[in-house]
Amino acid sequence: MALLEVRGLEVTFPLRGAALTALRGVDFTLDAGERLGIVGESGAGKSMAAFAILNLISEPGRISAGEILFDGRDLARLSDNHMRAIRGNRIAMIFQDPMMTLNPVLTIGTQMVECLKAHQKIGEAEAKRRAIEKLREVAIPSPETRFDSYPHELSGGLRQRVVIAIALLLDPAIIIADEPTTALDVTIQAEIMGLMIALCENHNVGLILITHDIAVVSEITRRLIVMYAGRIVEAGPTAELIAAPRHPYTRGLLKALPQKNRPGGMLHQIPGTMPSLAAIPDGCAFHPRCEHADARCRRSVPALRDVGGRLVSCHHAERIS
Amino acid sequence: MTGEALVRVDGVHKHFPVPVSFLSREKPVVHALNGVSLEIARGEAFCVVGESGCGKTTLGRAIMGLIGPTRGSISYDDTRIDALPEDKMLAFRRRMQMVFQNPYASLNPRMTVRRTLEEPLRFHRPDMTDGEVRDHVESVMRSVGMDLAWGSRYPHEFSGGQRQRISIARALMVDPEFIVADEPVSALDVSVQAQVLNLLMTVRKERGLTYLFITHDLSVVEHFGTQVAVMYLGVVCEIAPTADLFAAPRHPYTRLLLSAIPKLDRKTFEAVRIPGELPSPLDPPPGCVFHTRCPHATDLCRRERPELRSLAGRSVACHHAEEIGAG
Amino acid sequence: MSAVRAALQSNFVYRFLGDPVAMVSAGVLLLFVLGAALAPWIAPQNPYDPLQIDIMDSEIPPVWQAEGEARFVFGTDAQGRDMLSTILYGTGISLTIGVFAVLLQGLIGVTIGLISGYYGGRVDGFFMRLADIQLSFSTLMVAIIVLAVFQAAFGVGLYEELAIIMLILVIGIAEWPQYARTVRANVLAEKEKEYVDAARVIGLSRLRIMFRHILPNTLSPILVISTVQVANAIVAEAALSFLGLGMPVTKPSLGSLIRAGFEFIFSGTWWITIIPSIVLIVLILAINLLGDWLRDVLNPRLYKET
Repeated sequence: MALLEVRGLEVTFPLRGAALTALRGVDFTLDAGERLGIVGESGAGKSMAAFAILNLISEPGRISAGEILFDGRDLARLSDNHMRAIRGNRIAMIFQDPMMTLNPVLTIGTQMVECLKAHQKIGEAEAKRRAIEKLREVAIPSPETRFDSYPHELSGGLRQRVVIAIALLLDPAIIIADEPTTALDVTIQAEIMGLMIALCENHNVGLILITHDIAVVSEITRRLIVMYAGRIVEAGPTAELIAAPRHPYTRGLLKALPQKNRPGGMLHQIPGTMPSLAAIPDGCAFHPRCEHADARCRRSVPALRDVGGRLVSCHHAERIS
Repeated sequence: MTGEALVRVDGVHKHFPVPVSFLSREKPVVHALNGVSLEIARGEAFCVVGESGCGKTTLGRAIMGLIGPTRGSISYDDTRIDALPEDKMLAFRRRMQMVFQNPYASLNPRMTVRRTLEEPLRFHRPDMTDGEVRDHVESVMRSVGMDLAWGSRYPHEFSGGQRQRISIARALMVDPEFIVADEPVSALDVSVQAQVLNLLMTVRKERGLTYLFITHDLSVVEHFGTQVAVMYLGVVCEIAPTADLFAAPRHPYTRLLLSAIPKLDRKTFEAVRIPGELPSPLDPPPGCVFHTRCPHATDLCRRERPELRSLAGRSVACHHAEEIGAG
Repeated sequence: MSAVRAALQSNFVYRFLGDPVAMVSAGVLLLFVLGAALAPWIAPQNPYDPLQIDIMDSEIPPVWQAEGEARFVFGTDAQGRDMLSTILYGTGISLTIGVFAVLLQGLIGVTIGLISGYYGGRVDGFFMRLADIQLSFSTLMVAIIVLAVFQAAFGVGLYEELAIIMLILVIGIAEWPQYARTVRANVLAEKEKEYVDAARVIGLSRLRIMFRHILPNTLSPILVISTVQVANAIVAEAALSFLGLGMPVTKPSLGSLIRAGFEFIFSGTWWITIIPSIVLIVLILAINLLGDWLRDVLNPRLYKET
């Protein structure tokens, strides 16, 4: 049985009488120790999916349909108190900005010890020992001295390591990482990503990596979900999906990467931009930008269906591949 | 493609004072640029690449005259422009323009697109009649793929990619020959990034522009650039034609950067593990600035700063470039 | 400008119609402004015209009291003036002083704030220290000293003629640092934005960048503090009048009315002071509530998304 199972997840925001649907019919599963990537451009709803799993959708938005099964419970219906016991403890989250997690006026040691003691009945000394152990695990040099540092005394890369250490503190089953390296330089990104893979493997932690960077997910994850305008458009094993994308959007996205083009030549481009949530086109949301679109695409929303061992939501998936 | 040097940067230093309490005895400075020299030939798409804090943005701003260098000189078309009074500088302002990184901050939110585009023309070409200004604005709008109806709208009504198109149109308004583009696509999504890069390449071809393209994204450089300068902590490590640099990087830092780019077709994740973090630009290490993270560092590197020197058709600032290139 | 105004307006109007507090406040304020502006036509009596006033009508209570007369809805004051008319005219004087004092504050403060923020360095240091000094004297203290000296030097007669102008000048000059600081803080934030660099790359002069590019982007906060400042200026004027340094009793503002009636409050003629007080409180409350609402609506973080 899957560790986490998301079924028909829908998030809506009531706005000026109308309701904006930010997320529609999102289904996926995550097994223990599995690494899953969710990619999409801004406005695709990928962060919304992560926030929904942790029940962190900000008011007035809410989960309007679907279920999130974890440990035999439906997180979408859980009370705030129960949810708090799961957040940080069983499911941890890493944000793009480490300062979302770190309190600037407390030392990192204080924050880690507080976090441990809030969820487990252990003494001060034991908590400190475990915190330093985790700091060592994320390869922070001289963890004993760093324990007493304030967040602003650390570089961006070290801060993100501390955030990872905090995420791992309570031995969670799942880590959700929302653009964890986007604010970092490439050399630091490479180190952090390598570290995250090693840690997830050592502790058998499931990882959901949310990013806009297909190249990063391709190196890290086994399975990949591509989102567009609040829906999943394609999902499957990462390597296969990148080698032979079936959905026109995924194809366009990959072809637009400079890596996939001859240097100096024109890049393949997808015309237009991602629609805003208030103006998602009828039928297939991608049809105005799609070269294969026909009357059917304009009329009916394609279901996510199995096409050769992969889920694709396109009426023409067979023809295109 | 290449011709004589259009922009020449010679031994430029830029130090920024760090704000401290006025009672403090020490006056710390950030060494943003530490003796940068390079030449940008006419027709080139010259890329400057490096990580945050390497001074690439400062270099671009110094060339545009937005900040004055602490030491060294910057020449444009054989005229020194780094200390020119504003009235003399005006003649150069028409020839060099800039496209900024943040499409959400680089357009005045209170001005319509049309007014934004007209402003440089009305300022630099007071001789033009209203009709001529309008015709020119419209022809540039069309050439960058803007809908003429955008003119009466305000920046907040546009997406990031559309705004970057407007910024490019503004830069092209005075028919410049040289454009500094500071991370013009790093705030954009992949599909939109391709649109903007294509546009920059198209206008370069059509107008014979010279670019200084500043970015942290090596895959963009590989695609876009003709020459690349790699910067680290305010110093140029390596300058080479793009294809050569990507085929055979000579400087250890260039090698590190190239190995760190995430690649689509690589199955496993194996980056070169480099111990340590970027040193603070407040107190750059003596000798070679990269020696604290360099696997090849020797005593010589810790002691003596390597100068840029020619080696096999490129310039490298490394004492051990020969051995590294061979190995 | 018209297009953004239209775009903003849809949001503006929507937010306005969805907020009963804002609507009521605006309604009340509009009522006061109209009442004051149309006073010469709608007021039952011209309180400045001695021929219309009869001392025999003095201290008649409001109409709902047993001894009230239908002619005087809110009763009359000690000189026999109709309270309603006096309040309508007085509100006009209070509003005039408030608005013009704030225009003066804005003119001085915005200019200084713009220069301080854009030039920075010593210029900034000089003006901001000046602002600190100015703020260390309370507005009332400055006003009391200046007005008292003026009265003593030029006599009460001249003072009464020039009272409105004097009050506008004193309140206007004393409060410029509020504007200067707000504008300076905004200019500091705005001038780091890339559109200012873009203007410099074009080669535009500093003055042009300051007034054409930066100033329009600091207007929202200026508008918000202006509402609060109008309320403050009206209160300051009322306080000065209450101390006898404001508008003369012959041309009363709300403050001087309150003062004039205060002497009689213990003799049972409470309406002369209580009714103008209520009017003043309602007026200030309406302006402040409207200012709060405006601040919420103009908060860029809130309207950028729409």
